[in-house]
Amino acid sequence: MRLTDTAEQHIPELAQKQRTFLLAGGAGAVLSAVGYFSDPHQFFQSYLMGYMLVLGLSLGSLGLAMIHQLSGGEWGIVIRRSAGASARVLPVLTILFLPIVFGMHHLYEWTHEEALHDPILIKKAAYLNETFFLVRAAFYFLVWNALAFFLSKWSLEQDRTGDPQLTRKMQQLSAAGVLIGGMCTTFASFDWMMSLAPHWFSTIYGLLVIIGQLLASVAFQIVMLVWLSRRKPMSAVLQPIQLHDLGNLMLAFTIVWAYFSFSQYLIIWAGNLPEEIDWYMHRLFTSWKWIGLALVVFHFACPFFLLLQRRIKRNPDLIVKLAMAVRAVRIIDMFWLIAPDLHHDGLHVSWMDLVIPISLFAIWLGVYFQQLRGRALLPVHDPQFEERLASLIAHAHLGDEPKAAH
Amino acid sequence: MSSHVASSEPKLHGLIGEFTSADALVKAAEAAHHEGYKAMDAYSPVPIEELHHALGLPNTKLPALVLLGGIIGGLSGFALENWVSISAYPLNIGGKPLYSWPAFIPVTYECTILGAALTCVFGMFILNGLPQPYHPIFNAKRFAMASRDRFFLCIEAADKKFDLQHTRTFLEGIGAREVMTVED
Repeated sequence: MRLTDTAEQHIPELAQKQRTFLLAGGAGAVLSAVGYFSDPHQFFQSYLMGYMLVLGLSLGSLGLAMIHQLSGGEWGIVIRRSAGASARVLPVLTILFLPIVFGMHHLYEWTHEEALHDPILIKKAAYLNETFFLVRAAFYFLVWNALAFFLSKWSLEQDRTGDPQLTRKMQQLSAAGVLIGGMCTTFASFDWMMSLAPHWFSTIYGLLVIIGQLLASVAFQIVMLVWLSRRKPMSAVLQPIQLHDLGNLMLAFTIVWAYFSFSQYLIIWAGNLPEEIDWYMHRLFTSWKWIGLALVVFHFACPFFLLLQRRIKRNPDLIVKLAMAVRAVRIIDMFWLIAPDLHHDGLHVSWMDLVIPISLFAIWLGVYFQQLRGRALLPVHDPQFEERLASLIAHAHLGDEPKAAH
Repeated sequence: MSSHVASSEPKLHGLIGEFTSADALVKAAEAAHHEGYKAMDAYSPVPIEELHHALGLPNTKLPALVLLGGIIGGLSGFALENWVSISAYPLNIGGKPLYSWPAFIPVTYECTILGAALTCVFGMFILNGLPQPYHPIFNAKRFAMASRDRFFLCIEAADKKFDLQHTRTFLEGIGAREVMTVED
């Protein structure tokens, strides 16, 4: 076994994982179709929530990969191939966006006839109209897919040729990509989520969504890293310090999420303007407030105090449990951002709010495993890898000739 | 009265072994810890993460102190805001109640950071026993190299197991390039 071998050669069960998740996703899709015929309105709401969650995993992982190209660090080398596989789910996600296009009239009030008589929406019509909405969506997907495609392509090319120039190219693309991709995600969150309440606006909303995506992705990558490190060749590479760094990133994103969420609330609370407070009125003065309270406790306070502890961050078993919990509360946050705008009166949970996100996640995982299979699990020719991790592998006597590719 | 005779002879601080790599130092520290030496310290030009464990040092109390500093800072910030806004200088701002906790959060947050950061810096100094104008380790001839490219392990004379001859042989046995005495 050599490091340049693909993940599948090291871990044959990946193919079976892919099949299992795709089958589960397919079964979920059938069940979801039943939901569509029984209550299309609810179907599209749950679909949007599930879609934004899986899209966030791909975009967040792409973001982590680009940040790592710019910052460096061992934490990024060990998750890079898994993050790349997550980003390469984007073409499938582009197709999975179509139901939202068809469900526009169910979701977005500004597409209705009455919007023509709404004095505020008339002024926003130059931006919030169906044609421009679709053109923008096409542009976002073009940018995201292009970033994922080129970063993956060059990384694969480097696996083959070992050309260090490619690292420079990836860094340059990442510098531009963090900016342009970040702007696209900001505007996509305005278009697809914030416009659910078309009168309302918050400039920090895009950042709030982005930080949620990064948090979910770092949690997912921790789970996968620990899973992979129970098998060769990653077992020779994983060190407590890498988990410690990833845990610290999770802590940082948790704090930034709380900071952005509270900033948005504080500014709207202090201004107390009718068009701004509406969003919080039906969230805080109805039974939705329990969801808000759950977020304060489980999305901020609990992970914050647990992640302060070094012992937890350095222990694979504990950090994986915590990362899974963080993944779970991300669902509650997405629910909080989307559902109250479509059910103003109070807390409303449908079976579809569980089934559709889980089905989409199963499909996402299936495609993720398919993408993970075909490549080596470590970027062996990345200059940083040779500098920092190659010696660990050599020490571990992993294979017959660990550095044979040189 | 001739009790001053002994003071003219310098006392011994310990024995210092010189190593050429971080790896060798960590291995030596592990061996010394295993051998049962307790009063010892390692010196290196770069931080070495494993060293703490290799020397068998107890975990630092600093994180717990920083948490405490942060909590005290946060509570005092919140208390200050309450006192100012409710009793010291009550002002009607936008018709909001005097006790408007959301407005107090930024100050509470900043004071948490301030409390934690100050505790961290000064706690580090105090726990490390700094500032310390004199330390016998600087009497060792080649110790200046510790800030360049050499690594040192010092076994102090205060250790119960310390014995000039034995300890010297031991340090040489675990790979020290050179072993020197350090005067107090």
